[in-house]
Amino acid sequence: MLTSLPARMSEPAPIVDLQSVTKRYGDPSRPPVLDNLSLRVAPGEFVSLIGASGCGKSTLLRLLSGLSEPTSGQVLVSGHPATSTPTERAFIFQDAALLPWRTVRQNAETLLQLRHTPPAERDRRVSELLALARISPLADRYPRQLSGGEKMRVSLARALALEPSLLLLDEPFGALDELTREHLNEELLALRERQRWTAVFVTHSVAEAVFLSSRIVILAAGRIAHDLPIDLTFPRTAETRESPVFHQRVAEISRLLRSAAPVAA
Amino acid sequence: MNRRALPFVLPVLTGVLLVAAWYVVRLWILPADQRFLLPAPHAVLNAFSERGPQLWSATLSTATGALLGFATATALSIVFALALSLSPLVRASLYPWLMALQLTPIIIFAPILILWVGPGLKSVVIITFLISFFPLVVNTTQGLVSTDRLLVDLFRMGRASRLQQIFLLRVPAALPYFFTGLRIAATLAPIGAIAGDAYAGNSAGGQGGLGFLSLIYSAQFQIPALFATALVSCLLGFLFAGAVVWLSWAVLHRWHDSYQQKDS
Repeated sequence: MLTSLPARMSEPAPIVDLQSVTKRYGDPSRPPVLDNLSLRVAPGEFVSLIGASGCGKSTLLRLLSGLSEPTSGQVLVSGHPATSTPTERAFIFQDAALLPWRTVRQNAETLLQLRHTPPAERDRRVSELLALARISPLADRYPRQLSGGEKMRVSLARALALEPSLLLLDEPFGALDELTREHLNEELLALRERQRWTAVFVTHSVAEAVFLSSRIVILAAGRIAHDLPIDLTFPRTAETRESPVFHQRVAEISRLLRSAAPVAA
Repeated sequence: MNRRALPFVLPVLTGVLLVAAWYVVRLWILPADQRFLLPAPHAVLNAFSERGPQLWSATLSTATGALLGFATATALSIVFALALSLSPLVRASLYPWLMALQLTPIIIFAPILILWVGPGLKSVVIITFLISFFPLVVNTTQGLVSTDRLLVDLFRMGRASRLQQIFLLRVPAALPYFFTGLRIAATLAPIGAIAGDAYAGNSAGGQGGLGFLSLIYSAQFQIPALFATALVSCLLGFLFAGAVVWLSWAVLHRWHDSYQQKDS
């Protein structure tokens, strides 16, 4: 017992700890969406999950959010079951999911309002995040007056106003044009420099995953096919995308992705 | 011509044409012994000045009945819709009966109602209520159960309480549906009140509303006054519908897609 303690101390307690997680929907004769999957994420990591459609990426995020429970195994967030953990988590969907009857500022306040955060504190945090997300001038607009990229910034500001320890992102930039997506990727990393949340990020874009992540997990058929650290140094900027090592990583991971999940005929 | 003025100018023009056509039909098409069927517009205006006080008190009486019935229907429909939206079981047990209520013709039901509560304002209010309740409750319930699933997930993940989910999410999301119901109900309420007091308006010594008045004029063969009554009823309807259209605009125009902005 005593001898094993220093070894455990040396690696920080994981914020995400999936232990032999299996998740099935409906028919038990069909293969599970997640198949006996174990995964640990340390605080401060930025982990991207990639894989073909139906490999279980989004299911994994929903389990971490506490919205659904595993069929078997354990989903722990900071050592507590995901359904009851006190750890603050925020979810960002592919759709910005804004309330159309609320202004940008009111939308960004929504989650704090649910928590009964005092108005003064709410104002302070939201003002700061609107500025960081570069949407302060849009504060009094309604969602229908915003572009896709602007809506996603509001969605980010709303999530980050919670000051979450864990950020769960389900293809948040998938519907945006390439240029807007790259801008938002850079700003997401800049925001992370300030807030230091841990991220679990689902995407279909290998380039996006390489640019953002400290680690990429390739899923195939509900299991982990590859688990790879991304050794590009932070802070990463627009120039990072032009470096040979970036292109090399993208090529390697694309190759692994193809071999892990051969395209169905 | 200024394009913005068109929506106001065009209806006035068609109105002038209609009145002209009316005179043409009366003077050149109808045989002289049938002209009494279509009194001249100026004769209808005359009827207004002659029957002014009578028409005015009838209009007030009908408007009171319509407003009370409409307001009660609106208030109760919100309570009902909230209850119905809570569970599919509640919906399944009550929906067929709401349908039954709506499908029973009010003309058949009115005499029964008068037997129960007697003639007068009370009956008029209940008939107005019955006719405007259904579209309100159905639309509002539909709105309350049609909340975007993603937004529901957002609230669940944000650990929203049941009350927060209802009042911060489901109720505002249901507003456009509620106003659809309110518009339908606002056009039905004056019609319901007039139909109601045609049956039940003769309380307090013959002091009735527009429906009752039209029966009297019809029996007395006062055709210009009958036309004047129709015109007043129509104006009352416009007043109700207009008020709701304005209210709906005031609540929704800033954010709802049905009020598209000029620049987008």
